[in-house]
Amino acid sequence: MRGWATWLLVTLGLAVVVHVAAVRLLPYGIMWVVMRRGAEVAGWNAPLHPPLATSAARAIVRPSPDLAYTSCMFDVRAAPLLVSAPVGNGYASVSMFADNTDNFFALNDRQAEGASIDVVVAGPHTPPFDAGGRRVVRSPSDRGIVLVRRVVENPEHFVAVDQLRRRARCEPLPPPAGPMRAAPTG
Amino acid sequence: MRVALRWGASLLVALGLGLGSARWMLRHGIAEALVRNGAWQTSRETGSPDAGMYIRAQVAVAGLLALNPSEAMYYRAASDDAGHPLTGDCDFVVEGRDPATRWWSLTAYAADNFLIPNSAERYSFSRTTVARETDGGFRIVVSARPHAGNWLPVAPGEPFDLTLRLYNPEPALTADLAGTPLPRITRTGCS
Repeated sequence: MRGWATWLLVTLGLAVVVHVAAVRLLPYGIMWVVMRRGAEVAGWNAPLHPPLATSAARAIVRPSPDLAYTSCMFDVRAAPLLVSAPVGNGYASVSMFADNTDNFFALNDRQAEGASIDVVVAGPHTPPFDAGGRRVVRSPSDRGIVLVRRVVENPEHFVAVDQLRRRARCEPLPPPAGPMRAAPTG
Repeated sequence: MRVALRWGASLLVALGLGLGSARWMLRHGIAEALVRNGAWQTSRETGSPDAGMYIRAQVAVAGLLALNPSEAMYYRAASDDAGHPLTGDCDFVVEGRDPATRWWSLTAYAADNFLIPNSAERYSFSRTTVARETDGGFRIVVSARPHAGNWLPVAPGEPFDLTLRLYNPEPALTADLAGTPLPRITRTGCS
């Protein structure tokens, strides 16, 4: 009798561990699959401009068919990442997602300080660097996804939106020409 | 041998219980954490670093790369206002006025969380594509059968759900997620 009680307690304890581990690790697993697939197409730290979502789109669940996306799978272990997305008249935003799905940064066209949203992404362990006066965001993880969303107000609007999104940059920050001037602000 | 069998069985049972209960929680267990507004449901934690582990896992499964509530709100409905499940066996009407937000869209998704194939290649309506009623409101028919006007196609006989995306919602909306006026969903008939 005591043997079965021990068996039951151990089994239930293991079940709790499996339950918590599965729920906690699932976001990391799904993000890793999506990042790896995106990097296979465009590489790490490079923009990708998929077509408007249709029923054939199977890369990411619940895509919006009204948005022109630009995605960028980032890895900032070697160098910070420069993100620049020109904005037009309609809604546009730059958002960033950590490797556990958390949306740690979002900025839209109305919040942009100029004609584009310019951000430098630093990793959790990136040492101080020269960001050239740009806004610096510290990612909680070395890898993640930058996503630029642009509203396509109607089908005729897509050509102009597509031209605009293809001017987006997502690339390692070029080394500074002069001495160090700034540090990440978080 | 008996000891190995006993603890091997323990591991198998633990895996089954742990994974099965995790799956159940992601499907049904987060309902209490959601805000309800008529047939619509939403969460303030979507995309947020403050999200609990169940909401975060749910976002990964059925809402990856969702924006945090300061930028966008996502309402989802799997039934009409009377509680009837959304299915392609029936016709539904979504009607109302523009929500208090800069831009919105209404999209239908299949049970696999992807867009629904249809010959019209129509997957959504938005603030800028929906045809208006004379009073400025809108009326969208969600049906597997073609309809004149704003027709959002779904698959016959298949369950589906609707997502209402609200970009740059006004402060009044985010302050009252359960009470802000949202489109009504009404079943109008079944085949």
